[in-house]
Formats: sequence, structure tokens, C-alpha cells
Amino acid sequence: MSSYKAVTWNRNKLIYDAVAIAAVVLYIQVYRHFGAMAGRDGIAPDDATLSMKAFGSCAFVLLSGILSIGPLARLDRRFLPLLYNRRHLGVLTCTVAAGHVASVLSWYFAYSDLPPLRALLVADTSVAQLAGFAFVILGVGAFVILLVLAATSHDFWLAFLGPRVWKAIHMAVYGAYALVFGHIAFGALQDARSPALAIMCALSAATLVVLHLLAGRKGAVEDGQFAPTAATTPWVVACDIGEIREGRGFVVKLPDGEPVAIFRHEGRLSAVSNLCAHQNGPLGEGRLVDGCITCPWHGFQYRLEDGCSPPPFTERISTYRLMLDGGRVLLDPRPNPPGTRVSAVVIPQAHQTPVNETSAP
Amino acid sequence: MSEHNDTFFIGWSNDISAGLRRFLMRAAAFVVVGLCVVSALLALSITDPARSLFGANAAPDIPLDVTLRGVLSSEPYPFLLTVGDAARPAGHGVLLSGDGKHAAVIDRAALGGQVVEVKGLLLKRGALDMLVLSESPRVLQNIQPAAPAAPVPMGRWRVVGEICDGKCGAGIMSPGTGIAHKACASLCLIGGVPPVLVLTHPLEGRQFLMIADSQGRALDRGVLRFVGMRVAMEGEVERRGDVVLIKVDTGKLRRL
Repeated sequence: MSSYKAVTWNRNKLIYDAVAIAAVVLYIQVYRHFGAMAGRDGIAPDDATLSMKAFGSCAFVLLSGILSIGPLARLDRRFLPLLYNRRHLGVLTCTVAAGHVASVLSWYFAYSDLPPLRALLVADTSVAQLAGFAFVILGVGAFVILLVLAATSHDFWLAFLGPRVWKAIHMAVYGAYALVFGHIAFGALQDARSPALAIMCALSAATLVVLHLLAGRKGAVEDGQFAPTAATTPWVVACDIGEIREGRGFVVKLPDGEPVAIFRHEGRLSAVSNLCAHQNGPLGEGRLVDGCITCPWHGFQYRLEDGCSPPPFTERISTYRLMLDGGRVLLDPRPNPPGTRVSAVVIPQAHQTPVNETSAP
Repeated sequence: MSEHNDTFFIGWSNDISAGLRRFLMRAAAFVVVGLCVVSALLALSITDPARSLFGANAAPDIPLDVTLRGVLSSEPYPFLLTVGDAARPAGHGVLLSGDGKHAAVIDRAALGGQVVEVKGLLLKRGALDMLVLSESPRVLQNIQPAAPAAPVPMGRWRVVGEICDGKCGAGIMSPGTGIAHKACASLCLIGGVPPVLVLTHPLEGRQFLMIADSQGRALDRGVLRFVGMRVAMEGEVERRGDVVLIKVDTGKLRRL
């Protein structure tokens, strides 16, 4: 977790990547096998056309899958392992898209006096018309985005740019999806005589919209309520003690919208930023493992008392002061500098009864 | 790890609960099998956009190396009207092109109207014949060209079809038509490969027409934005051998 390090492989990452690569290889092989069988018109596509269709459709399916992982993990935590290595899936998608680009360049844009890359940009520039729109340009735009995202996917760039900027850049994956969708809609779909491709595109878009709406609705609840101001300045009323379960976090939103996670551990309360220093993962949805807050996304850990990652790691997050007012938990909304030690608040014996774990969602 | 929740996943830890491991194995199997099914369905749905345009002879023939003899016409594009032999009747039109996305390299001024022998790879799809020259045409000195037959006017036609290059359309690419092929066809036309209009519905037995501007000259680049899609056009039509040429005002082409 230092500012730069090479990919730290582990068994989970290896299995994840092996399954993803195997799925892609099978997809391409299956496509080429069935695509080469002459259809009812008795005309089989040539090898180059099959390759570009196989790689192109595979990249679109992968992109749809990548965009589904986030909301799926929000709706069902069992999908969180898919989130863990999602960046590798992104790089794989970019590689598959590169296969599509290479197939197109070496067939449609080859054999002319123009270099293929130049031909790619000048052969079709019909952007002023909807029918026959220059769909190639949309594909070029999507591929450029995928290249940028793949190139900046390493933790070096995450540390260099910071989680907020890095995440903002990587939200461009939605733009890439929209461009790919347009690329297909104005391209392959115009020639398709079978509804299969149209159905696949519609299912992809509908699934993504529904998943994001459902996850957004759930997230609006889980991201916490705004904390009202307490009678004493500058404190805000975070929650009642009983709302915080042992070993878990409770998320509350400060008046400025900043989310804070309050953890209950062995009869004490501690508050830290809800945003993981790695990728802004929701720490309040994590767990306490070996006494450390553990991010549900990538397993980054922070000590309760000072928000520092245990050595040798160096990540730090902001801590917050807490105070009890009877059964209420008050929170000072002014964040301490990341890594500041704050004494945990001891829960009085009268409020020690933990919430039943089995009632947890 | 005593506090490790049963379903809580920590990527760097190899400690995964049996329940989560089962779930992930099922998810992996679903993804792999699901991708294969999607792949097969999409692959089986591929069709040639021009499959119905070439009638019963929808599929391109296997390209063959051939030697042809005929009268070379140079306008609006190089094409050969065969002199007639055992394989082909006299007056059969064969379009000519060069290698790749290039025009046939022909000294039009010197060879136009001459009886020549040409060699190359013959692409054939339906009635559309395209010869990719492998060497320069050779003038047959011992055969005097007949007086050039005058084009036979066929009146004014209003037709619907797709403009594509005669080479990919003849089957060098499969599919060699359609919007996905638009950029490729455009590069072929820029390179000088003769364009053809593949008719949406055969007209008087014709599956394709050679297409020129209203003055009978080669089309300019303004036509490129109409390539690869259904267009309607109107123009004077004439027959040269068994090749039918339509002369259109490209400014009046209409996308459908």
C-alpha cells in the first residue's frame, strides 16, 4: 500500500483473471466456430469479418459486465469479490477491443494508399447525417477512453492523482459504453437481419439502467442520514448508541455531505472518514478484522484509534471526535488531519447491550 | 481473523467461507457458460446484407485465375467486353481493378477500344464479374477491333439500391456490402475501383448497374456519403454489351 508497487498477485486475483481470460477465449472460439457455419443464405463471413465481430461483441459484453459489477455488489455483498479485481477486467476489455481494432485496421482499412490509421479517420466522416452516420468515429472515441482507463488503472496513478480525481477520470467508462452503443447502433445493427444483436443491446442497456436504479435506491438508504445539529456547538447528533452494532460501522452524513463511519468495538466507539484512502470505498460497510477497519472493496485496513493503516502500510484517513449525551452519540463535524489519534469513547454499562447480530441484513 | 464475517470477502486473504466460495464458483460457471451462449447466438445470427440481392446465385463464386480477351472500354471505368469464346458469350462485361483498393493500371488512351488479353483473378457474384489484373493488358495485334458498338439507350430509370465498390461487392470480402463495410468501400472508390449499384430488387433481370455521373464520367467523391446504404436515384440508362450503365445527377441522390 505504499505510493508505488507492482501488481501484488494473490490466489484470488489469479483465479479471477484465469476465469476471465478463459471466458474470453471461449467466447472468441465459440463465435468463430458458429460464425463460420454457413447460415441460411449459404454465405459464411470471411475470417477477418468474423474476428472483428467476435472481438467487438465480446468487448461490448465485457463492458456491460464491468458496469454491472458495481450495482450488483451494492445490491448483494456476495458480488463484492467481483469488484475486487475489476480493473483487471477493464484491462482485459481494452485488450479485446484492441483485437477488434486490429482486425478492422488490417481488413477494412488496409490495402489502400492511405496508412490504416489515417484511413480510419478520413474514410468516413459523415457526421452531419443520422442515416449512415460515421459510426467508426464513435468506436475510435470509445477505444481511446478504454486505452486511457487501462493505462491509468495501476495503483501508481491512483496514488499520483488521488482517489477523487482518479475516480472522476474512470467514470468515463460510462462514456465509453455510450459510444460503443452508438457504434453498434449506427453500424452493425443497421446491417443486421436477425434481431439477436438488437435484443442483446437492449438487454444490456435495460439491465444496466435497472441495476443502477435499484442500487441507487439502496445506496440512498445505506449512505446515511444527515446528522442534525446538537444543542452544543459544533456537535451534531450522529445516532443513538443502540443503532451501532458490535464490530460494524454506522454511516452518518455531516451537514456538508461528508460521510463519516462510526464503529463499535469491544464497548468503545470511534469515528473515521467513510472514504477509503485507496479508492474512496465505503469503510462503514466494511468489517473490523483483527481490530482494524477493513474496506469491503479491496481490503485496505485502518486502525480505529488513529485512522492509520497498520505498518508497513502508510495510508491514513481523517478521524473525528465523539461524545455521548445519554444514549445519543454526538460527533464533532470538523475532521482531524488524517492519522490523528483520538481516544475512543467508552460506552457506559447501561448502554452496553449489543444489537442482535442475527437481525442484521 | 476471529471477527471475519462468514460472507465478508477480503481480497488479499485466502480465507473465504465455504458458502461464498460456492456462490463464486456458481457465478464463474454462469459467466463462462452465459458468454458462450451469447457468443453462439450472435454468431449464428450473422447474415450477409446482400444475401438476397444476387438472386439464386447469392454466394460469390470461388475466385479463379483466368485469361480473358475482349475490347477494352475505358470510360467511365475500365471494363472489358469479351470477344466471345467457349466460356463466355461475346459482349459480356467484366469490370477491371488492380490489387488491393486500387484501380486497374491501364494506359487508357493507348488501350481504349483495343482488343486485349487480360489475366488475373476473376471474382464473380451473380452477374457481377470483376477481374483483378495480375499484369498489364496485352494488345492482340492480330485481331482488329470491330467498330465500337454504340451504347443502346434504355430510357430513364428510377431505381433503389446500394452503392458499393465492384470488387468487394463481387465477393473479395464477405460481406462486401452494408453499412459496416462503408469505410472499406469508400477507400476502394477513392482508390479507383469501379463502383456499382446493387439493386434492391432486380430490374429487367439486372442485379447491378454500373453507375456514372450525368455526363457519363466517373463519380466524384461527393458520392461517398451515400455508400453502403439504400439510396434512390434516377437517370438515363444505356446498355454496353450486357453491362447496363445508369447516369445520375449525384446531387439528387436520396437516402432511404
